[in-house]
Amino acid sequence: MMLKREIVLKKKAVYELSQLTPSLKQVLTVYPELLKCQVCNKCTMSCPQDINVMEYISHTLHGEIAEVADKSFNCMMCGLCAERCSGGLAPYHIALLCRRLYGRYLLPPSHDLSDFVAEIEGGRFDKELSELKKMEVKELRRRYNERDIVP
Amino acid sequence: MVPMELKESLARMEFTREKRLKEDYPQISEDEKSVLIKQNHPDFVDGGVCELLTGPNKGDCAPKELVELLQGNSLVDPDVVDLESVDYDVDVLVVGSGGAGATAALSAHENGAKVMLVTKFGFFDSDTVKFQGGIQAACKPNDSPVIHYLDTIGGGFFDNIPDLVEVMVRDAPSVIQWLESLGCIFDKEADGTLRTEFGEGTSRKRVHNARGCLGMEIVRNLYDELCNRGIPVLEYLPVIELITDDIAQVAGAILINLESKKEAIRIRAKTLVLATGGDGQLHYQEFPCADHYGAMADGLALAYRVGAKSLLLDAIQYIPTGIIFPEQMVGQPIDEKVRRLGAKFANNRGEQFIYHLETDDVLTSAIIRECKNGFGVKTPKGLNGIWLDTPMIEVLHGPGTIQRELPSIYNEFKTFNIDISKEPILVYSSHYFSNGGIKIDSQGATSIPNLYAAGKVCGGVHGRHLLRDNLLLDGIVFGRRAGKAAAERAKEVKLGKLTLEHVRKWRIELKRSGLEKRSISPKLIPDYATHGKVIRADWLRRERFEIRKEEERPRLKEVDIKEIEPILNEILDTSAPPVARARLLSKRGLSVDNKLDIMENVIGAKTCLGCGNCNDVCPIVAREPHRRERTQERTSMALETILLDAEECDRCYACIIACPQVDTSIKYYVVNRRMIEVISWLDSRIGDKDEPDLDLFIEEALS
Repeated sequence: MMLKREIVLKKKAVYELSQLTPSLKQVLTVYPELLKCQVCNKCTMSCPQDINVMEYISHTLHGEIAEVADKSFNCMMCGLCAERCSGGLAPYHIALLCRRLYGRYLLPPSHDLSDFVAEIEGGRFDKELSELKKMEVKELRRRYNERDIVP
Repeated sequence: MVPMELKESLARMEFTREKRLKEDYPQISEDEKSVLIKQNHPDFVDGGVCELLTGPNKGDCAPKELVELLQGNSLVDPDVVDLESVDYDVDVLVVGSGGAGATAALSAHENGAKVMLVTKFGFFDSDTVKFQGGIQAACKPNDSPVIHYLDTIGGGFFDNIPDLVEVMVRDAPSVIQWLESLGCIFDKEADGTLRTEFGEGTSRKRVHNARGCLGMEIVRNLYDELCNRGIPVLEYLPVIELITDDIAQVAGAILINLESKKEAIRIRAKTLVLATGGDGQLHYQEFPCADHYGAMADGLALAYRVGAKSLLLDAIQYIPTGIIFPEQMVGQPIDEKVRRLGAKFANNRGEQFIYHLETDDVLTSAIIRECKNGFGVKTPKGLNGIWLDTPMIEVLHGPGTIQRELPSIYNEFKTFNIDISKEPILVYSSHYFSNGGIKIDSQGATSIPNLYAAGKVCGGVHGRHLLRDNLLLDGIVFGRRAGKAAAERAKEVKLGKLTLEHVRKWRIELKRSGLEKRSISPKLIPDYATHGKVIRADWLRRERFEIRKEEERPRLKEVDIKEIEPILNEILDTSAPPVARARLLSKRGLSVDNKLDIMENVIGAKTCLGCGNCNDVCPIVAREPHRRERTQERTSMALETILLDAEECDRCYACIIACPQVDTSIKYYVVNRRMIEVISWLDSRIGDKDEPDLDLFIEEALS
């Protein structure tokens, strides 16, 4: 079966995000080749998005996951850094892991959102929505034109 | 930097800027408006729209290009295809790798189905990746799904399908929650509340974003999750025909290998989710568009042939301000905010011709009229456009306003060395979005059993007018729903014998309507890229349809050594690194462009990869490492700089051998004809008294 090229080349590790913790030890167990970085800077020079790849790899080695997520945000997953890497790393996959760890565990959760979802599932807006659905176009147009727009 | 051709018009425009700043151009009256629109708007152009003569939507109107596609012949000859055995057998087959497709695959897998995802180009070749807008979701105390519903249905001119809109606004907050659990990084305040902005046509602050590249952020997280779950992704394999079974259910698809163009693959699937994206690259009435290279309405054509109903096919949305210069950005829409800040239009004589805050229809028509009357500005590529005077914003609101208010547009032009706070933008009306598509219900099911659809290929959610930030939401909500529904349906469905009966019926129907000589569909690749010769209707008819036979791949074209022998000899005799010139002589290049060389017409790019192999093998650089400090670059050109004042190149030709971009034929020539000389010459050099003795070195090293 034809899988994605990176998996075949073993450049992309397979993991379950919900069972990870946001720590350097965890990143190293998923991508042990991180230690093989030779600091040759080929990755930074090849990046079409002008990301300082070598810098964020060294941030990863210091366990600064938030920093990595910030610095690698413009990555567009072209894979040129992994292609050129003399140590056999795939920096863009490492950065993706760090971003996902940061987004899931380190960013403060939005409590208002979860409350709101619970309200919707509880059926708070069901009545109003079903009313609107049955409404005539003329009435709907009136409501649309009269809606208040928050400045 | 503006090229010479535009300088003259630009100077005239700058001359009249002061006058235009003071001038209050009057709004035109209702009567004038309707005349203007009737005469110029693309919706009213004669022959732009025509009637569908056959198929499930017989009698409906659609753009000419789309009608031709929908009424096309199949690429597959049903009589030669063997469907007794198949190559893959899965529960859910997802076609398309954009936001909707990837979400559908993931959601089907969550619901316990065996999933496979196929896509026409690479995984990241999708419109979602390019999308710069945000995602709407009501989650603030002053907001509710009800207001979101009203905004959406009013924006769509009340032609939206209520069920679909309701589902979309109700699911929106949980979609954000789901994406967050996948690890998407949304813009947030320090305490975790989501930061929201106004969007097009929203009455509340409801648009979430992720530093302006939300589409990419979502797709790369989905991609990672797909890989982790081991869902197979098959790339460069477009679907060319659907398979049905004997009770007219969809039961799989036939795919073709886009690289060899011969090898076909059959997949049996219990359910199929179409998420093939939009149709911008059909270029209705030759308008530019912002869609991805592969947006060719493939899914629409496939579903139409099986008999799935479509709707609102004539609801095409144009935007008055699409960029037409520089060439790389053609078709990209410019936000209305630019005009609201005070940028006005000007033609090539520097005159204002329309009030800059009219509705989109009026502006589109006025810009087209102006270019038709010869007042347009011609770009070097031959397109006509109108100036949108952005420096006016700086004059009105003070310097630095553009960089502060419109950072993304400013930065994008900056990459092309254009400073829009000093130079105006050239714009022309461009195709923005086609609101029509396959008709679905709230679970993503089409009118054909086992066939589901999600994303841009569907119609009805946005009515006749899309609000930009609802687009991504639509894809993800219906991707999730279609994936779930498809997985659940796959548990109970029993497929009959596989056939291509619908293709036979379609052929008969075309013949009856007198349309059998129509072009082929799906087209897969835009006309301008194929030059009408690469994709042929007789692909699978002329050659025997032998499945999975290991065909010889088309060889890369290489330069014929006889043609270039004299000049190659001269290069090899010169005492400078020969790699750069040998590379320029080669016909192929292992460049990024070559990866896309699926059609024969793409020229292998001549730019150096910059891999640095030639720098690494050069013996002179190894002997004198301080030379490396001259430049940071590692290209073949840099090698020449590094060796600029070297007394003589060793002429070992190691750089040619090491370069991945030099043709093999040249390498063979160098090895067979030149290497013997080189070796004998190096041999004699070792014998020289001036050179240190190699054996001595080795002895020293060993001791």
